Amino acid sequence: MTVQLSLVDVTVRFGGLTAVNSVSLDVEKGTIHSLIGPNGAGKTTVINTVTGVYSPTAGDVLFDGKSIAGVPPEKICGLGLTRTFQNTELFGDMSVADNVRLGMFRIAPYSILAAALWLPTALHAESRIDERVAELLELVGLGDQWTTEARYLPFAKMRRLELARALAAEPKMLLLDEPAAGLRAGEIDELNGVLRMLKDKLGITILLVDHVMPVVMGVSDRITVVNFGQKIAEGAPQDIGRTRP
Amino acid sequence: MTRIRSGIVWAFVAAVLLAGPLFMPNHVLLLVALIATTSIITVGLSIVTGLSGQVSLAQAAFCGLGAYGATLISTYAGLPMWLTIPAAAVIVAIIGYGVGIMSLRVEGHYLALVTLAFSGIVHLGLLHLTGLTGGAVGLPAEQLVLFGFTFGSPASLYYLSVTAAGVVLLGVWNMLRSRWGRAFHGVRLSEIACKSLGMDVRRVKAIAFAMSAGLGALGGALQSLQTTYLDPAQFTILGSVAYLLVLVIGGLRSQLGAIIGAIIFVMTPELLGGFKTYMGLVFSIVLLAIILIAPSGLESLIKGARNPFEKKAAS
Amino acid sequence: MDILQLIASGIPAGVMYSLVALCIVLIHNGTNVVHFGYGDQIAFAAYLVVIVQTFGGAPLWVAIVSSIFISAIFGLFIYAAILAPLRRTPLLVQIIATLAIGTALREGMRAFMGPDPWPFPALVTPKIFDLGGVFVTSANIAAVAIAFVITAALFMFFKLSKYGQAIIAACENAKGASIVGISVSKVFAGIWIVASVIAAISAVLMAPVLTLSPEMGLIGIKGFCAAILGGFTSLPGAIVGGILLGLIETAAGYYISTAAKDVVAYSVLIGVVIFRPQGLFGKAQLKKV
Repeated sequence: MTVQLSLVDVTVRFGGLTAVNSVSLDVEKGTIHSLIGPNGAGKTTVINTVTGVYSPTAGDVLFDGKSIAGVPPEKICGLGLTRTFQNTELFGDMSVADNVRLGMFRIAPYSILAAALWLPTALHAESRIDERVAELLELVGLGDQWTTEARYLPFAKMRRLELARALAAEPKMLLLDEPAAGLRAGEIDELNGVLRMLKDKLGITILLVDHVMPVVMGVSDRITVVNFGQKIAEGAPQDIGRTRP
Repeated sequence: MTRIRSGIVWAFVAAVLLAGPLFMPNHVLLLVALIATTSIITVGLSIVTGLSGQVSLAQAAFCGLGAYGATLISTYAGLPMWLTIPAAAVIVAIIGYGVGIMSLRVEGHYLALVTLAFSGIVHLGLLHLTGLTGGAVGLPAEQLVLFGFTFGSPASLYYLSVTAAGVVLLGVWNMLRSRWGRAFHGVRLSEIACKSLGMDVRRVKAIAFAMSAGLGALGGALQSLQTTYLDPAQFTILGSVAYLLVLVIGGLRSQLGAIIGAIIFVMTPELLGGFKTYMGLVFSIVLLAIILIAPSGLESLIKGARNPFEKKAAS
Repeated sequence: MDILQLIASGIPAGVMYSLVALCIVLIHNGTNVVHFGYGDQIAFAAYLVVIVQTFGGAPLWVAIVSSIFISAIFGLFIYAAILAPLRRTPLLVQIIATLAIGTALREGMRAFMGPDPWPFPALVTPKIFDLGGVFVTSANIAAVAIAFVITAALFMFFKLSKYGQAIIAACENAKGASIVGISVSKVFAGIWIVASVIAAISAVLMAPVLTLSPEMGLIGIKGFCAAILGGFTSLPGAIVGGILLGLIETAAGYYISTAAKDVVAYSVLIGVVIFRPQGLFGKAQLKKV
């Protein structure tokens, strides 16, 4: 199987604090890989480093074999990687549909002049965008919420909206930062369903960071455990499950 | 329901405007023309500051560059105003792009200060480059002549300004509903989310600035046709502040708010007449009251009144 | 003009900028507000002196004390009635609020006192001293002396008095300060009062030199230039920035033209923001996640 994302001895230091200490990790294409650990273990720092918010102090990050260490966040998306955020960074006073439409900003471009004059390039791009938005909203179960403002959605649906928006950018791989935080039991099952569907039907590779075990155990093909910025265990869910005290 | 209703309202407004010179006295025509050109300026400002969230205290400077630019290019290059006015708008838009790129490293109050300093430099340039601009005395603005017809009468200026404003408002409305409107909006709400979606946030911000600068220049140049005289006192730092203040009163986030702001900007000195001296004071106090009571400005109060039963659905 | 004269003329101009910059930075560090109307507060204080003296018939020193007192109250009012309620609103709203406050002051003065300049009494009798070829006016000396006294008093206040220490603590870490029992709103009020008092004192120094008109508030922008040059988060930086700006402006005024002074000051602001946003002594702003 091919490796889609690879962290090679990645170390991230902020001044005197070492948030991530020589962590290596391979995510295979088309699988769901979870990164777990207690709060402060460095999980979000790993995601931020992969997506270019931070540069690794040492080590390298490879995506599809090419180094992406230090590549700024706006270029990461173009390489095929999108992410969601711990504190859902939705566009609150924009509608659900517009949030997803913005996800297609890079995919369906047209100039501002075309926009002002509503030229055919703009019209075609917009109808293409609308089709895709309809598909994605159906996929995450928000098909009936086109015009609702994102900030008025119940929390679980906000999470799914963020997912739909990230998918709109047509990524090869998704990085999910605590997608299950704050979800109730029934919503977690729904989330698992969606994640499995993304992997099976759409073939998207997923690296997910969380500490909600029902999600991690329910969907992961492989789990990496970190604490204090270091990798302390790795393996299939049943192996990790057994080594827990 | 709302679509048809607003369609009828707009058709009515358009009809009234079209028939204007038939029943409006000259000074009213000129006032409406002034409101129209001011709307172009405030709409420009609403894109960069309201929608995209970047404080610009340079709008009056862009107006001045547009107005002086159009006339000076016309005089020195011998080109007609119907060419130099759009040309000046484009050139100033490019300058605005540059100002926007400068904002790449800074945010919030730093940006406000940079635009303030830019405003100051432009004003001083207009004041002291006497050989070029006539200095404090100023210079007469060139007139717009198209196919031998001079736009000088109140009726002609009225039609020109209102049509220009209409075209601009339509174009901006289109732009707002497009990926660009969403992008400008998104940049204000969450830059980090925009970056994660592959947006070059610097470039988007700079384009927003370019739009506001270009529209400011266009509005300024069109206004010069009406005022027929250019002098630096029309384009000061205080003027930039004034545009921002009326935009806030009218409503930062929408074109309707920009139009309301323009109406306030033009009509208040007219209506106050002898009390003109107290205008600025009253303005700012009203503004503070509005900020403390209804931060979204008057237009949100108006919108609220029109749709009292609109529910924000959540399930 | 030789270097010594440049320094002798530049420093008195610079210390005035320093005072403005100092208060702008103080308000910003302490209350997180960028006070775009501060220059207008200074102009307002100057007008108060003239009003009390001319219409109240009071002697100069009474007028000055009244102005300081009224300015202090007004500063408290600005904080309590306007900026405290707006504490949690977005940055843009606060910027507009301070702009509106400045505009209200400026336009109010224009409405009640007219747009034309008012004569302002000099604090000290004008005299020129010749110190070995370098000319220094009595106003220069007064400016430097008073600025020095204010700055020294301010720093002693911060170091030695409990209230001053509370202000510094709250500036560094508002949450931590309130946990330790410091009343943050009292501290904020105190900052505004101090800044307004200094505004009134600065007004007396500046008005004779700048001419008193509604536009005198534009000195605020120079204060911003100085503050940014020094590093917007640093109080000592504000002082150094001010003096440096005074020297740069004086040099520009001599070697280029008087008109160039303002252009150079504004260009310094833009240049610093583009090339070195943290100024001379400020901290580099970390990227947010």
